[in-house]
Amino acid sequence: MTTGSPLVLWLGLAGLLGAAMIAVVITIVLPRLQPALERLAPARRARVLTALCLAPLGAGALLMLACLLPSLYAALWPTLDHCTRHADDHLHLCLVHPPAATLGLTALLVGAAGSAMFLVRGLPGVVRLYRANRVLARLHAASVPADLAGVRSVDSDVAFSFAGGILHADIFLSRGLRERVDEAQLAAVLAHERAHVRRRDVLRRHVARVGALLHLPGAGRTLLSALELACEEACDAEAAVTLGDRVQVAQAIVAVARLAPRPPPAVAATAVGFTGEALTHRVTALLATPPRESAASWWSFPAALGALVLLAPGLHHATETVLSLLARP
Amino acid sequence: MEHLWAHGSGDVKSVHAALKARRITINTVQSTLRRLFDKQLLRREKISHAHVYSPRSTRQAYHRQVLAEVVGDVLRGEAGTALSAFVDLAAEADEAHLRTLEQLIATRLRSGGAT
Repeated sequence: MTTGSPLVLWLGLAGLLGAAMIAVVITIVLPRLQPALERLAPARRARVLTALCLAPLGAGALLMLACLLPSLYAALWPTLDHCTRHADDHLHLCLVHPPAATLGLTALLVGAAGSAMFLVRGLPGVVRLYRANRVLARLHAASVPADLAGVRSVDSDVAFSFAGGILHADIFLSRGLRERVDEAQLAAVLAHERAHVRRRDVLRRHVARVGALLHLPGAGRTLLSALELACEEACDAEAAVTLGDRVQVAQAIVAVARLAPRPPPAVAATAVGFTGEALTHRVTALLATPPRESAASWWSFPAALGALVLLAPGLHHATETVLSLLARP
Repeated sequence: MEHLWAHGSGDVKSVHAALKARRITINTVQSTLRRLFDKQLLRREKISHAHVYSPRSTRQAYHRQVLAEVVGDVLRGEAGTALSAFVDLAAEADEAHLRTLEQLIATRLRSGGAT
């Protein structure tokens, strides 16, 4: 057997192609999927949307794993080694027998373009995250623990409250908001923010953003916007359960929206459309009969794992065949 | 800054003597004071051969300024990627829209009460 391009490059290319395929499929089916998603309970919808954001990344990783599984089977049971049955010039995605084929120009271009797109789209997000963390660190230093559990008080006239922080979130509550809402509204605000902290929504959105980098731009934006709304609605629903009153939460949303600071025109111009819609969605969802929250299916993970193990040889061969087309003749 | 707020003013030697427990060199103190002066947080006056530094604002005024800056950053969306707000901080909910939502809530309360 001759030695070709390293296995890791072939696997990376396989993962990239798998991710691209799933991204295209999701872009095509998303408009038909949206009405069904909107009927789901918000917490479940948030889980499904997170999974959809991560689908291309997950599909790429699973395809790479599926491609390697047959050679792992062969390592455990040598009788299952099928590489010797291949012709020498056939592409091998195998840990034991290195690939004999060399990446062609098309493969190199596809790989380079995919990696460049991931980096170019991801880099601004890394910068934004760095800046956001610096601002939150300064706000943390400028705030003091409030007399409410898990809440930091910000001595500002501006009315706002939010859960901030990725791995460890704090609830920041301004004096301006606390002074201008009544007890019931404050309870709703805090129950909502505590739900964000418990659900780790900031972290969830970050993970989803990383996953969305592999989506086509339009579908990625749609999924992230829908996820944002689903997270807010899930926290509204959780606050309503905590307080035992959905209307109380709806009233608090409108009251706080009325107090919300007027943003600079540049910020408002980018956010006003979605915000108005989001407010209406959240309030009308709280006033409507809540959809039933179905229990998570415990069997879905073992079922997916079993399917991967069974399908691995087929996926392995199909990928080898497709990648052979991208090998240097 | 804490030392200068507490004592009103001081030169490099006196600040270094006060911070001796931290085991920092006099050069570190000197460059830190110069940087705080460059950032307009300190004013300085040459007395004999030494610069004497004093804070430009009180501790409270400084904290108010820092807080206003950081709240401004938050409202401009600088921390948007790392927070989940109760109501979007970039929201510009118009009065008519809010009134419509309040009417919806009032209708709901009249028809069925709170749930």
